[in-house]
Amino acid sequence: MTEKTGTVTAAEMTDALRAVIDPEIGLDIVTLGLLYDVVIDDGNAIITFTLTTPGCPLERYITDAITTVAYGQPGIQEVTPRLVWEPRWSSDRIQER
Amino acid sequence: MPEVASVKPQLPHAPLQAGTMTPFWLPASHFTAGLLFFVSAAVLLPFVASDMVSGRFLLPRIVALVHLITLGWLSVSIMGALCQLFPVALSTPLRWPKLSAITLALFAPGLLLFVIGMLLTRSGLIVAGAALFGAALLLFIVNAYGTLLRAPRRELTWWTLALGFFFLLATVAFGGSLAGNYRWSYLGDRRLAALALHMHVAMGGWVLLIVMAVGRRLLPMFLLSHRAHEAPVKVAITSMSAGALLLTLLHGFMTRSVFVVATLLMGVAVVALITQVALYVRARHRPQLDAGLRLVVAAGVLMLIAVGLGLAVLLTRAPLQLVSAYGIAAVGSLTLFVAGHYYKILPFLVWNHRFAPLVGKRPLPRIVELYNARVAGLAALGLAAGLYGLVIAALFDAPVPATVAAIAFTLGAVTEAGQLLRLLRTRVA
Repeated sequence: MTEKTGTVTAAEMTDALRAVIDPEIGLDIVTLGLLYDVVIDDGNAIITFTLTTPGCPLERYITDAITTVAYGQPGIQEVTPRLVWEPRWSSDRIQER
Repeated sequence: MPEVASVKPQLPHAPLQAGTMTPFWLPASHFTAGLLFFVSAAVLLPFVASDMVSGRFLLPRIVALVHLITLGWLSVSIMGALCQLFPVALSTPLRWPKLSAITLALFAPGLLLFVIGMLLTRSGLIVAGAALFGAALLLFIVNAYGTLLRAPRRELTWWTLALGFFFLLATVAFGGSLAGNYRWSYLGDRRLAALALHMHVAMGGWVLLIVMAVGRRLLPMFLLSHRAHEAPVKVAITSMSAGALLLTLLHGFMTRSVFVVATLLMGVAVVALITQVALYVRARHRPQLDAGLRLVVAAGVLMLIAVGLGLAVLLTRAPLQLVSAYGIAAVGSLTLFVAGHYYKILPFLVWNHRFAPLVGKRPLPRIVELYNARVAGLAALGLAAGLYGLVIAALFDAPVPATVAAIAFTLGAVTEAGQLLRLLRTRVA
């Protein structure tokens, strides 16, 4: 949390989103490379992400999970999840250690 | 701090709306029926295994068993899976869910009647049962094409599914002709040829084309192998479609040459499909294969064995045992393939409907934690050992090993079905 505004930063939000785990693969969406961008703008979190496969049946779960985690962060009053399909995800984006 | 790739996002495609999510009961009822038919077939198998491997595959009780597997297990499972997978494959949900329920309500008793008719050699029951499940399959085909017409894009998966449903229609027609022959015996000495036609269009044109269409979306998703080349699956789809089309369109003018060319095309398709599966497996991100995917690999190897046996049948004066071995390998490989996918599709269905709504309220399990992996592994071993054992027993016309292999298969099937049926009844406290 930043000392000046009490609102979570984009980097802190990204870290928090590691709580969103793909239940099939067992990796979080940050490690999987599904998270494309996080913008915190005056209490509004705009989170841009993708899924491994268009039409993925987990779409609703992951969107809900991102929203739930984001709302739980300090200073966030609104969450805008944005699901995109370009650029297309590939397994090269996985950052597994 | 982790870095998020700074990528300029584009406007998203419209996501599925909440109301279009397939209701749990629809695929669940199909999977329940499929698993019960699977167990029924598995329980019957030890009683007919010795006849099967001795080449007496035209016996009514073996015909009953084959239809329990091909219709009750393979086809019902595919129909149930498509309820869930149309959005993944076509980005559009099943068009008429209630029609799908009516379909199953006609199909299951129809198949039961048919099987009982076969076991009791009552032609009236056979024809009545075939009429019922045939009507059900026609309703499914209407629903399937209705769904296809709504898909936003018509690309390879779309066309493959469209062809697969056409070949299901052809299979129903050929099957109807064979069922009628039980009652009115009009096929005469063309009966064996009609049976071969029916079996190849059903296995290749219906089951395998659908497997190819959906598998090219599912397997990369399960294996994280999206970067694998896809040339082999395109060859597989083209070759299988061509072979099945030849058989279907020329069925009234069938010659040995046409049959050989058509089935060779199908054989090429199977080899190409297994090559594609191997590419997906090799390009996978996670090294470990779970029980379901190990069954898929076992199925692939058995499919290749079936191709080899099929070639031997085509090119030689095949003894009946060789034909039996080929039939067991062909149908058996598809059985394993579907059994393997149940460990992916069914737990996913349960998780998505029972656990996903709890996000943020409690810790959620991983999908693989919903079932016992060790029990799944034992079940898979029983299934694979049983089928491979049956093929070997057929090649050597060995009735006692055949029965032992059949029992191994039965134990594997009952174990898998028991675990998955229990999983379907999972409720979250």
